[in-house]
Amino acid sequence: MTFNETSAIALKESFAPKKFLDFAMNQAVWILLVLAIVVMGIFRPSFYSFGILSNILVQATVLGLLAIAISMVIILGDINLSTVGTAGFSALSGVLAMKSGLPVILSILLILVVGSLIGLVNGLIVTKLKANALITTLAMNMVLMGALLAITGGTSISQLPDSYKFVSQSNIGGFPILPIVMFAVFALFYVIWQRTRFGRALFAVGGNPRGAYIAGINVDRVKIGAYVVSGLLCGLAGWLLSGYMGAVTSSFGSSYEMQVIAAAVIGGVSLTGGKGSMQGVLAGTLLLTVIQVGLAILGIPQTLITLAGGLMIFAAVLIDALRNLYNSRV
Amino acid sequence: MTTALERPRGASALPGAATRIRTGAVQGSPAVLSIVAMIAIVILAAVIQPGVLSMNGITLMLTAAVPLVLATQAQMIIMAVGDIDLGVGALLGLVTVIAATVLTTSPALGLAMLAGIVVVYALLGFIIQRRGVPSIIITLGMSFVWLGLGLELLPTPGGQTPEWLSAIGQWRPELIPAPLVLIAVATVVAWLIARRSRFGTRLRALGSQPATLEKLGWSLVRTRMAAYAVAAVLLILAGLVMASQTRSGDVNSAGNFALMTIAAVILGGGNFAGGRAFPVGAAFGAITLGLITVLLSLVSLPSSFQSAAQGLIVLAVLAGRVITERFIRS
Repeated sequence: MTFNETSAIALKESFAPKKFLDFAMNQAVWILLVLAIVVMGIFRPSFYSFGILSNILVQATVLGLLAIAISMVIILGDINLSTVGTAGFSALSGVLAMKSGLPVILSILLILVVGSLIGLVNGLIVTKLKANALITTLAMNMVLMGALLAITGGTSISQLPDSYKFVSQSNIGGFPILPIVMFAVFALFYVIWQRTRFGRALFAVGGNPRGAYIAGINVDRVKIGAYVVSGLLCGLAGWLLSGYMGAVTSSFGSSYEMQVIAAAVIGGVSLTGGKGSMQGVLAGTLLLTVIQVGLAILGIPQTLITLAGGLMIFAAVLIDALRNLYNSRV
Repeated sequence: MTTALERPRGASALPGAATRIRTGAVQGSPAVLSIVAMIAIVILAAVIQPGVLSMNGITLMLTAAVPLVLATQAQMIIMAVGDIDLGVGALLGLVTVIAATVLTTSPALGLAMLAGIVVVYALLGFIIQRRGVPSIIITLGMSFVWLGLGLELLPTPGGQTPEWLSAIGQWRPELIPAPLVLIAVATVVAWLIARRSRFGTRLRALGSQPATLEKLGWSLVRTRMAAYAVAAVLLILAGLVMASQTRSGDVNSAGNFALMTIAAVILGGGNFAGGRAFPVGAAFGAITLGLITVLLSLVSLPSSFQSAAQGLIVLAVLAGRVITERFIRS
């Protein structure tokens, strides 16, 4: 829904309930987020403590970064199922290099470089070999997770230096740094998506690749760029998660595997490409985390929380369907 | 995709079998790659370990491939209508869990649950067709649900399958290896459904020419629902066979089946766009991928490396398909 349509509807029917419904339909995820927070608070007043709320934001950071990473590719109409594997493998390579004497700052840089390189390989396979993105990245994920398991041998690599964990574990004035990183990255990608030529090209390629090609956009280069940025973000998430956990484990980040896609989809990024917003991805990330943490606080068993994650995807589909129905009626 | 192979099976449109085999040989049937790959792997395995060509050897090698072949036929039907099922692994896990718990204690309830799965799958088809939601999202969401249900029924691997089911897993005919019989039956059934029935023609038409199918007076919704229901039945059979072999239930027992079945369909000549169904090719593809696991253990590759190796092989398969398709076209 663009501004033009909104204002046209506002002109047609300008009484309050209509406006409210209009607003509710287009901000459904944010409204659900507020609703979820209110409901959790009613059941457990302790939910509103600074500790729990900031914990939710900390938990949301890695998910949020991975959700941006996958959205970079979904917006193209492709999908990147290797986000978690990329995060794990690049974190592992950085930590191993650090253990064998590479300075911390260079190790962190190495993590980002490895992540980007994996993204580059994905991008090259998808564009130059014209392979299907879904299976390429699914197989890539299997390779990376398999390599992680093989190299760690099922154990975890811990005892990381404090400087490596600084961003993940420190506070500024009592407020953890991680959420600041998350909001900064969301803001940065909001600008990239909305205000840069690269962002416009992403939407153009995702919406209509042939049209983008005719309009003079180098489709392959835009795609490869998106995959590289996606890999870079996975590397960043890998560094922050390994710092937060203080270790790289053999099943690093696998709990995020399904949530990442759910966050993007709940946030309204269309899998057919060309549609989506950073605000949506942020809302999806926060909603998913609030529900997960909230259910855990309420003492719901983990198996049912897994189930709830699946039902959330259906809720997202339902919201989207209702929104489309509503917009087509008006 | 309107090649000689893809023509509807009406009496006048059907070229003679000899013509089809000849054109297949000259132009290269899309399924050829999977047959060549399978023969190569069998030869390789026989060179390393001559025992694999005996009755017992073939039985041992192919046992694990039977559920994979059945699940691949289901995935082939889903892919023929242009969709992808990412939930097959979790669903197979759930079916083994149901087989090892409820089906033993109260068979009627167990059968009702299995029938429920078919109904749910038909509903998925309904949602996907009606709402235009990508199947990836829906089936990914369902994989959470299957996993949650499976963990709720049986948190740790175990249980006991009913006698009659275990008997199927123990069946050892004298003349032909049992897995070979099961694979052949599964393939013939899928071939009859997908390529010999009117329903099969509608399936493929839904994948490639939905507008034409609708103009001819068929319901797209009902066709997709039927496709999903048939796929569900095949997946349940795959899960039951798996449970009959292990005689216990484990919701994680088929974790990588989503990737493996998609790769097998692609290897066997299928495509992501829909409209193609090659049951024989898909079966060879599944056997090939199943045998690769055996081969990897024959060369005594540590089990922790196997997942990575499988991922690499899938990437190689993908590249192989791209290259052979290009070669055939030129």
